[in-house]
Amino acid sequence: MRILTLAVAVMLLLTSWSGSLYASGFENTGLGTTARGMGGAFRAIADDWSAAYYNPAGYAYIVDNQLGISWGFILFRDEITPRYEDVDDFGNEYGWGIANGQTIYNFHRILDKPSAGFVVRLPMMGGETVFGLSAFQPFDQSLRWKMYSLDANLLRAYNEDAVGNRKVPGIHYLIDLDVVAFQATAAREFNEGKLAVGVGLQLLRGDLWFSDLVFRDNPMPEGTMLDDRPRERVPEFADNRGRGWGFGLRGGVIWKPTDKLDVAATAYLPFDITIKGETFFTFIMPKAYYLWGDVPAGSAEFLFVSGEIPTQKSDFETTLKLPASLAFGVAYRATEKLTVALDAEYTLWSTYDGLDFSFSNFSGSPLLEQEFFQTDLANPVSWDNTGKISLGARYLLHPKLTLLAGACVDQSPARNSTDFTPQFMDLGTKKSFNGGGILHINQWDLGVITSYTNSPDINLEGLVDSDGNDTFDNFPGAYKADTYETVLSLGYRF
Amino acid sequence: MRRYLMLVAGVVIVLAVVFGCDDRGTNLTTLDLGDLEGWPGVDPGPTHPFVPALTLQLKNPQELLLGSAYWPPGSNDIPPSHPMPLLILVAPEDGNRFYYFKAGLSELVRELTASGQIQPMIIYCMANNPTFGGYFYGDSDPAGHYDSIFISDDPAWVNGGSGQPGGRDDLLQYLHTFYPATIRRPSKRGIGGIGQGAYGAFRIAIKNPGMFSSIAVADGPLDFDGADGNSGLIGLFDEAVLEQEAFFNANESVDTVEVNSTDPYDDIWVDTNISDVDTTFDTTWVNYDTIPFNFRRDFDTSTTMPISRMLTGAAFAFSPNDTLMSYRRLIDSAYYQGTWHYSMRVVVDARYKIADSLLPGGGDSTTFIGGIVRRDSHSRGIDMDFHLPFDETGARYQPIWDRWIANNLENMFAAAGSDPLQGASMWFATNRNARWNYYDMTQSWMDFLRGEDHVLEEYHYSSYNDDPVVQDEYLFDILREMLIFHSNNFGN
Repeated sequence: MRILTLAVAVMLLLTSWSGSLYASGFENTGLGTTARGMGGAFRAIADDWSAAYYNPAGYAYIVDNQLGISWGFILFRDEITPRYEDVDDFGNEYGWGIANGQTIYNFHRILDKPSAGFVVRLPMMGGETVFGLSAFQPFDQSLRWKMYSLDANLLRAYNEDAVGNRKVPGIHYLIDLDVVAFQATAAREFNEGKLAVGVGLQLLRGDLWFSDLVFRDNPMPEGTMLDDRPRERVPEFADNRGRGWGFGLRGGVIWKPTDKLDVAATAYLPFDITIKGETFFTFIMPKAYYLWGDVPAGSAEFLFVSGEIPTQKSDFETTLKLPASLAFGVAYRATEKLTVALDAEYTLWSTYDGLDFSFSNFSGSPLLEQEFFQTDLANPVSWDNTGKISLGARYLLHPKLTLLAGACVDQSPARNSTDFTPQFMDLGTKKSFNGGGILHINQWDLGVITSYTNSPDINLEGLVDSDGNDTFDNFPGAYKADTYETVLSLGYRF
Repeated sequence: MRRYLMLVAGVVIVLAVVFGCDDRGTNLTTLDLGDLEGWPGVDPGPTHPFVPALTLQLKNPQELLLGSAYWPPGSNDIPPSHPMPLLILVAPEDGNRFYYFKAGLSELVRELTASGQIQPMIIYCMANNPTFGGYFYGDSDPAGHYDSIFISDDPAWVNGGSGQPGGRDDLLQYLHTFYPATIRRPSKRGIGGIGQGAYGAFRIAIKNPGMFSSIAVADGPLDFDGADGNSGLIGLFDEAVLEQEAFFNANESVDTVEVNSTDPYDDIWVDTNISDVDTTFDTTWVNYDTIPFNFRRDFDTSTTMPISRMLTGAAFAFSPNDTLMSYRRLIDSAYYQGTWHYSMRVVVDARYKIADSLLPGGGDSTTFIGGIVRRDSHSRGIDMDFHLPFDETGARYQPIWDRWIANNLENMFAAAGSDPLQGASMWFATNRNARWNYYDMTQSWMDFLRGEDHVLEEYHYSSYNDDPVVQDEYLFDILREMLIFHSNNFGN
């Protein structure tokens, strides 16, 4: 019991930390060294604690009690060469402060992604039922960008005072989304071990930090100097930080038609999470002091030529719609030492339609109490369902060493859309290559794998306002993305 | 076990290094705030302390006149191989030393020089003081004694005579020394500016008769009282009062200190240190909303009130409360950690104030504004106040206005005796939609000059797409014409 108590304590510690940490991809790339080393082709194997994530039915075949932790270290090396610009009637390109033409890198950060779980066999209902408690992140995303530069665009004329001003946020596009699942899992064998069924009940905790820069249509009368270029759009920075809770269900079966072949099917159904929190707004107003004489000082209109950088706070609420998924897997034990596996996953990303923020309870200068400054913001997307194929192999090289290799091909939900933004760098069908090994030392398993994921380069042209609210919902430019990940794991069997 | 752990740790370290621990940064190119140092052709060097002219200037404890310059390739050779003219551009209100560069001066000069439209020249851009957007390049203790900077200590030398330059408080000597390629002859020296810089250019030219052969300006406050003696800046007084009232109503602190914001309404403590102000509230916590606007107590100089701010700068220049200060500059020294440290401080011995002669028995004038400048390190620990030329109704207050009008170009022209602008070619860029009555003031000044038998060139600048005209926005076009005018005037 002591070790169980210790396991729970370690797990809670790790997951409470992970709630404020950063991880990869909106959908997790996976966890555990065996699974990750095999490219995620693990649903029909599912023989360690990480089965809670891949296939709860796998718990039924785990003969030992287990305690395990997995720690992923991820480096996103993405880059965008923005073309966030429009073309006037004479064919001249013009922008509003995004560093067009420069190749911009995301912030250099090595992100870590901890997860942990334990498995125990307990006699129950005339047989042994295997239970587990685990914590991991089924969804996460973390990217930060600095894109806005009045200097880079020779746009000092918009507001010279804003150049280098500390009130201008230093991070312009940011997402830090963590959905942590606290999952209780139960699994049991049926039909003399040929069939196993497992279910997991998840308590989901969602933490969202989403910063966005939108260029709002200047509400001053069109055709006047107040609305004339470069004042036709007003940069609005919205920094949203909040959290919420939800539930999820995960279930799976494993069928063993022969001694060498295992077949698996899983389903995952997470429910929406309502995220509530606080938003900090920063507006960079145009500075046109040559128009000061034309607008009454102190008036709401004056703000639009004042050059001020007003800020305000509000509460926000948004719904994080998480996609359900179905998956199938097969594993074949070719020899006593070699197992190969193939997984296919289908994720219903079409249910996700972006983040729609509604704001309330504003507090700030009375001058900001006008519609322009209190408008709800949305980041709508039109995504498609995705498929993912994983292929992996596990080879017992030595009683103390298992080698792992795998690859996977993963579609992007945004492959048919034009709504790419710096916060979601899922550019197309990704190819991932994985490899590593596990050392077995008595009851301990020490694993390390590494992974490289390549995304196709894309060129996105043209600004799109998909929801008709006079803000652009995509971010045109040339996108590149590579991801490096190393996963360490420690397992203890008892 | 330890071997295995070390092996794993080693693998992790190698992987971490291999897979990109190098920090690429964000790669976003930015320039340092408002500073164009390092831009091609921009020399931030001509920043020079002027003592004692700027010793008491507000927020200028280093006594610096900021400037930047464009110099063509080879112009900084010693000895100079390519003598060339000197053009001085004076910044307008709120214009810093890079004002003209930000409007494209460097690129424009390169283009015009390469195409042969202008001859190579060194262009010195003088900053306006940023505290209140500018002091009209006036002559007072808090605003700085610009006249003594501009009046050459050694006219013979700056005009090509022999000898060595000696004056430290002489901008022309400094520039000709700093840029030996510049030709020390009036025929190769021009000056110009827009807005308040136009006033500054003419003021400098009037104070230095015969020193410049060309003057090119765009609309500015060139005749304070306008053609009819009752317009020009006078026409802005009402707008300044409206600015103040609107600002007071929209903002919660005007010469008051908010001390408690947890109550349903804001409690404030009214500053009663200002004399002659209703002290009803001096010992009471009051509802902010019940306090009426008081012109003298609540006068503010926020950047959102451009007219008030401009008039404040002018008031510090033309009608400061301190008409003459007697002071000593003391150098303090201290030996600390093996090094001598020096600091300069100012000790005021006597202050002669404007109010003493205005009201019976002394005291402040009815348009005295105090409390704007606090005693702090930015003001050398000296509080400085000023008098406005208008009262709370926007009506002209003649005793103070007289001091302003003494600084009007027409009056300075007349005070100079013989025509101080004789021999200078003059060029004006005008548009009747220029802000703040600048067009009318400019036209009035031009009429005056024509009356003095000067032949003027007038260039009507215009806008695109029938937009209203504001000169700053079209500065690039104005500069082009301005440079061509100077270059043609310099001759071969």
